[in-house]
Amino acid sequence: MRRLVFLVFACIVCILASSCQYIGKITRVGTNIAVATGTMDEDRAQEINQQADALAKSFQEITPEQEYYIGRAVAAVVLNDYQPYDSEAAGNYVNVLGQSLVLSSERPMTFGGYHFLILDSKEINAFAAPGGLIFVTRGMLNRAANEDEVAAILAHEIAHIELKHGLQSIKKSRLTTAITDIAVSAAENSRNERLAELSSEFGGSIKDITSTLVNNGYSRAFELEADESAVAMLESLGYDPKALMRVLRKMAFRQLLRREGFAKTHPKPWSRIGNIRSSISKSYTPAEAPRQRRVRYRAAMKKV
Amino acid sequence: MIFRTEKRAIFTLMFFLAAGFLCAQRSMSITVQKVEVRTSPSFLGGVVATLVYGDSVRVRKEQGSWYQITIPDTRDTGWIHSTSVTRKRIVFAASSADMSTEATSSEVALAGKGFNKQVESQFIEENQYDYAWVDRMEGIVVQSDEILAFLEEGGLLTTEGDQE
Repeated sequence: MRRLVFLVFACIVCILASSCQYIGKITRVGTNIAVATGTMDEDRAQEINQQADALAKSFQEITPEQEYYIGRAVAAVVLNDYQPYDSEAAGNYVNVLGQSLVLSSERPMTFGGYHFLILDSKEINAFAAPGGLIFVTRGMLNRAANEDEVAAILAHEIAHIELKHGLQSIKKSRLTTAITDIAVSAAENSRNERLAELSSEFGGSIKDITSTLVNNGYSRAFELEADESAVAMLESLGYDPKALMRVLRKMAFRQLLRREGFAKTHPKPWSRIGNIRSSISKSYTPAEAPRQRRVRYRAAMKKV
Repeated sequence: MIFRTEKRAIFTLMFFLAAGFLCAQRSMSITVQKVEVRTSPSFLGGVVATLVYGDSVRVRKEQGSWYQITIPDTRDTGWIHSTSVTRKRIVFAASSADMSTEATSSEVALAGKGFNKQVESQFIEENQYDYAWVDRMEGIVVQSDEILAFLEEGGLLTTEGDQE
């Protein structure tokens, strides 16, 4: 009988534990209520809440909604420097191809979704703004010889978003207010102060990301990681994962001649090719692209 | 004696089942602007409903990266991808423009907190950036039947959603 009582008790504990996630919430809601009812000083409430939040301040705490606004601003900065290439056929093609790859990625859903745009530039380059806004130059698309190679370029950019590489280039100190955005006071002046602080953190964060995308590039580790994820996307859809190696080989050759755009912001392609080769699954068997795939690639890209 | 043991076993089983049921029916919030609820755990499945940011759903079961949920205010079920929901409860401020009654913790996320529309407006004003093409880009929508046709035509796999 005692064992039965113990079992019943254990079960109740199990059920309660599943709702234990509410405890943290209760602390927060509790401090809010205490302030609202005037039983707790605002500063004290803020202190308690900040202590709770200080534990988990990192890019992972950026909500998908915040990531969306960051991405839009990064995209606006990119579009301040580059003109869009307004071609319906090519634009449609990269969007349908890009979306197909997105569905095979580890992170197919973002707040505002993935969208692709061709930039009217001879420079060989591609950018991925957090949240899903992806840019690829005409120069870059011209390096690709077929649909599989375009897919490889797009998959690599999708991977940067999936792995939140852009968000990780934001200096940690910038995110204090955005992440621990707790407000207890409704006073007009304090609201304005906070908006000013948030705006300055926002501007700084966008600068951190764009200078990484445009000038410094990601770390070698991030590029290798993005390549591996791109290979997985390509393989799962049935594209040739070696297309990524082929694109990189062309880049390597180009890099010897000029250091601009992609060549400036990416590690030496040779160092990435070996890593890609080892991430292609053993069971992969090359297959020739069907005629229809080649035909539609030529039709969409002929003017690009 | 045998009878008592059996009874105990049945009781135990019932409790575990009850606990399992309660755990499985956990509540989650939609964390993306818009998500289509599908008939099967695949992006190529038919659409039965559309949910929006902050909607609360009950998860009935998991299959790979997909959750079967109960569609709010109905008895119907459907599938959504795990990257479109969060375990956090999303709370909307009384007014999204008013940033003064916000909270954040590991269990509650406040919609519109931190970097939001208001911060974006300030950013645009300070830098004079043109968002016209950003908005135009976001307006590009690819339907799932277009993707399906594209994959089929290109001789590509069409089982991506079920793999995960």
